[in-house]
Order: sequence, then structure tokens, then C-alpha cells
Amino acid sequence: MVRIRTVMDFKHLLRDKYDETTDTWEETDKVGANSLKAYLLESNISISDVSGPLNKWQALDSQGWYVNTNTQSPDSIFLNTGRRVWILYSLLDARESDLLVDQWTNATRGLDKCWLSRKYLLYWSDKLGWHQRGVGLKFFDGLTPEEEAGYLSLKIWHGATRSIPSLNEVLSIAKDRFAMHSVRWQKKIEGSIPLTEEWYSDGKITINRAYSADEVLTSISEVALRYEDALFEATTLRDKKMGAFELTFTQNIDLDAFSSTVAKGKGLMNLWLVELESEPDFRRYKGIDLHTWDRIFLDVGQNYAYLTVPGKGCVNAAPRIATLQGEDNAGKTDIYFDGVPLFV
Amino acid sequence: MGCRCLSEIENRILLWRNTIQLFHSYKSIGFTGPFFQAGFKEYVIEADFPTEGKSEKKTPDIVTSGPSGWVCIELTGKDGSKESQLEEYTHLDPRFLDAIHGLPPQKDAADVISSRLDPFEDGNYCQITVRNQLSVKKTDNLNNQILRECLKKSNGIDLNRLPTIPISLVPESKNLEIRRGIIDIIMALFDEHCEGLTSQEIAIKALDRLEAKTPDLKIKELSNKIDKELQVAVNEHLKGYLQFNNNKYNAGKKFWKYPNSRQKIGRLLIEWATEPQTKLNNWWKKSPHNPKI
Repeated sequence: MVRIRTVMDFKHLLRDKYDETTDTWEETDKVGANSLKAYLLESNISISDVSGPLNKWQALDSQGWYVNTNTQSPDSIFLNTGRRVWILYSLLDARESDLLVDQWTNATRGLDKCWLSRKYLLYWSDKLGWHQRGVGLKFFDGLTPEEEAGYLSLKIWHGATRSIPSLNEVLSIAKDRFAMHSVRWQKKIEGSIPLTEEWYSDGKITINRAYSADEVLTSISEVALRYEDALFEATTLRDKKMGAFELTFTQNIDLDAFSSTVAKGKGLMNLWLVELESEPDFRRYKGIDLHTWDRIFLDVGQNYAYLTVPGKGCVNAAPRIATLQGEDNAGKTDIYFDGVPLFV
Repeated sequence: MGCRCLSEIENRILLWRNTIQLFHSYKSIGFTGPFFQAGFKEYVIEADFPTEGKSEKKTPDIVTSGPSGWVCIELTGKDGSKESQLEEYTHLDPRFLDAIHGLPPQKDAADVISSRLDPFEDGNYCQITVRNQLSVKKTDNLNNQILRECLKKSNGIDLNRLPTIPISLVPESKNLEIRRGIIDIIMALFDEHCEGLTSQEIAIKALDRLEAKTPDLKIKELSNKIDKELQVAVNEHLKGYLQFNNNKYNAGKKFWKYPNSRQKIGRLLIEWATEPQTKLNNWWKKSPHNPKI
């Protein structure tokens, strides 16, 4: 039976959790296993349309706030629904949380993750009091046959001083060539650290340390609202014009391998496409985004692609394809429309 | 394996694609369309303009309005001059630009342009041809100096790698053009949550934003053509994978949502949508080399 009935109850719950976490931090210099996780989700539906493992929600006192009643651990999952971006807060173990969110988004048509470009992951770069403490980069080489494929997973927690020799040089080269998977942030005010968070490209945020629930909710909501603004902007562009979303990559794509992968709908990108036109360095494809079963048109060069989303297909496909393709095979990826950066 | 080259069958869509993309800009290939360059970033397709004293409307294929003026563009692949139609567009009332279409208002008459894949005489009006490269003629007939200069500067630019547009079919589409145009819509039928689509629903999806301006009769005609092409798929190329029940097309029992199954469906769709091979026996029957003819 849930005990949390109001948003204030939720904030008090978080405050108590942080007190535990802070004690643990001070004692062992490690955060507790069940730190707060937040997941930014892109939604085209209402709360009554959800299905899957998280299909039962009880409203809290404030509009758009819910507590989940599915799980065996009561008062552990909460939801704040916006117009297009929802924020799910979880106090469960990280693995259990991640699995539930994956299952939920897979089972619910019209629900997807928010896919955070480098610009969102680096959102706090110029904000007062915020300091970057580490970065994670990934490259799966997903188009190369498994026995020959390379793989990069690099996490650098450089802390405040970056005192490891030559680290800056390595970091600079790697950041320029590979997709950014995560960034660790620390907020510092007058010598004290009220907030430490790790932001991931699939919209997940781990709050490692916090003194204030309001600080946490503010930091997450701020990026959620920026992403929501970008979704509306991209949707308007798609509806009013017939240009394409332009994706640029730092890695060259093996187009034969790409054709072979998308013909089966395999790989991280989850695209099922047929090749309609083919040149050695340029291909045209039409088909389906298997995340949503929306139709998409994709024209791919060696280090760029054009994405057209016909009809009323979800424009969240643009940041999703950019993020997943970047980590899978394309490296650092940017999105433009008529030369203007989007999802930034 | 996909189709290796763009064949003649996609003329109509190619014309629309290469004309529309002149309003856009793409960093990766260093492309900036002349209309984009001239400040024409807002456009409306199939824009209705009432005509004074007459019941019929005039509907230029593309209407655009920008800081320096406004333009009506007529797209056509047909033989037969568009001169009279272009002349009518010069008399359209610019007050309808913002009153009906939400475009920046203007005071003066429109410039008019015909857009084709290949040159054809359309009278004393500016013409652009957009097959592989942009070719611009009679720009001196444009009143808008900025547009005139931008078009001249863009003469010869490569149009071969411009992005696909959301419109897959136009009402006049037929035969293999229809097959290639609806491939993705047919793939969407294999969604386990899809209850199937009628040929009319397929036509509407393929027309995309042209649908709102296409008369019901034309949509019906296109639906009938789609039926004709899809019956070949149902009975031959995709037999067992695609079926027709209760007036709807949907996935048959043979489909399993595994990668190899998807690959096979894709291959069968490409075979259906590609130029058909003439059977050797049929060719010989008609061949001038056959001594029996």
C-alpha cells in the first residue's frame, strides 16, 4: 500500500534518502546502491494509454504527478508527465530500474526514451556553479562482423584537477571522434557540493549525491523542458516544410554493411529498411523505425544522412537515430535542419 | 540487394523532390537552394487562390513569399505548354497570401516559374529544369532581382543527392512508380498491431500532404491503381506474406518477426517494385528476328 500521496511526501522521501546517501558517502566515499535514478521519456500518449510492467499509476495531489502501484516495492517509482516529455523517478536498484524502463518503453507504443545529444549532456557547461567531473565515450563498431569488430568504452573520471598526465590530450582526441555516452557533473556552491549527477545519452540520470530535492528536480526538469521545446520545434519543421533532418558523423560508414544490417532490422539502430537506390558512396532507403513502427526515409552518404519522417511519424526518431548510430558506428553526430542545429 | 539506379519510373517524384529541395540548405554536401538563398523559406504546396468573378480557383503547385516578393511555381512533366496557366498566375491576388495561407503578405504581382525535368517551351516565363543539375532559363522575365541573381548563380548545381521528400505518390502515379512509392507502407503492415489498410488508406498515406488538396475522385482513381499493383504482390511476389481480406491488405501467416524473415520480405518487395524481366518466350514471340513474324 502506497504511503506517498503528495509531491511534498515524495520530496521528503528523497530528502531522507539523501541523508542516508550522504552518510554513506562520508563514511565510505561511495554512494549507496539505491541512489535516485531519473529517466527522461518522450511520450505521444496519455497516462491512461500505457501498458507493460508499469501500467498502474495512482495520482498524487499535483496534476501530472503519479506513484506507481505495480512494483513489489511500494513508493519506489514516481512519474511527472509533461506535454511530450515525462520524467520517471526510481529508487529501485539500478539494474532493476533500467530493465523496467526498457521493458516499459518497449511494451508501450508511443513511449520512447529521450535521446540526449552531446549538447544536452554538456548542458551545464556554462551554468554557474557546475563543473564537469568526467565523461564516458562509446563506439560499438556495429557494422563490422563480430570477429573483426573493434569496441570502445572509455570512462574518464578526471575530478576537479585533471592531474593525470596527458589526460587532456587523450580526452580531447577521443571526444572529437566518438559519441559521448555519459557526463558526470558536480554543482559546487561556496565550497559545498549540493549535487552530483551522471547524465546518459539514453535519457537516464543518476543522482549520486544531493542535499536538496528541489535542486534535483530543478536540474532534471530544466533539461526535460529544453528537450520538449526541441521536439515541438522539430515537429513544426516537419509539418510545415518538406526538408529533411540532416545528421553528420565523424566516422565513415561502411554502406554495404549498413545495407546488410538494416535489411534485417538488426542492431542498436532498430531500423528495417530496403535499399531503393545505390551508388558506392550514397544510398537511398525506405522502411520502418522498429521502435515505433513509423515509416522513415533515410538517405545515407559516407559521413552524413538525411532523415525524412513522413505523415505524423514521431520526430524523436531524429535524436534517437543520431545517438544510436553515433554509438553504434558513426561517431560524434550532430543534427541540423536547413543548416541550423537542432536538439541542442 | 537494392535497385542499382534510379529509373525513369520515378519522374514525377523526382520533379517534386528536386524542386522542393531548392528551398532548403544542407551542410554536409555544401548545398544551398537558390530560393533559400533568396530568402524564400516559407512555402505552401497546392495553394488555392480564389479568382474574381469566376467560380474556379487557381492552384499553383508551389507558392512562396519572402522579403523580396512572391513566386508561383508550376511543376509539370507533361507535353504541352503551360504558358496560359503561368499567365493566369500573374493575376492572382496577393492579399490571399496571408489571409488564407499564412505567408508573408505582398502588394505586387507574383513572379511565375515553370519547373520541369527537361526543357520545354512554356512561353516567356522563367523556367528551371531539375533532372540531374539545375538549369535556369529566361531569368530576365523575373521581376525579383534578388531571386534572379540567386537562380543565375545556382545554374548547374548538382541535384542528384538531395534528400527524399515525404510525398511518395502524386495522383498521376502509376505502375512501378506506385510499387516503389508504397514499399514502406507495405512494410508497416507487418507490425503485429496493424489491423491492415485499404488501398484508399494506402493512397492517403502515400500522397502525404498532397492528400488534402486531391479531389476524392482522384484519390479513388489512385486507390484503384494501387489495388491493381498490390494484387500482383498478394498473388505472386508476396504470396503467403501479404494477404487481402475484408477489403484490407495485411500480413499473412507466413511472416515471423525475425531478422531473416524481414530480409526476405524486403527482397521480395524490391523484386515486385523493380522493372519486370520480360520472359524469353514472350520476347521471342514479338521479336523482329523471329522468322515466323
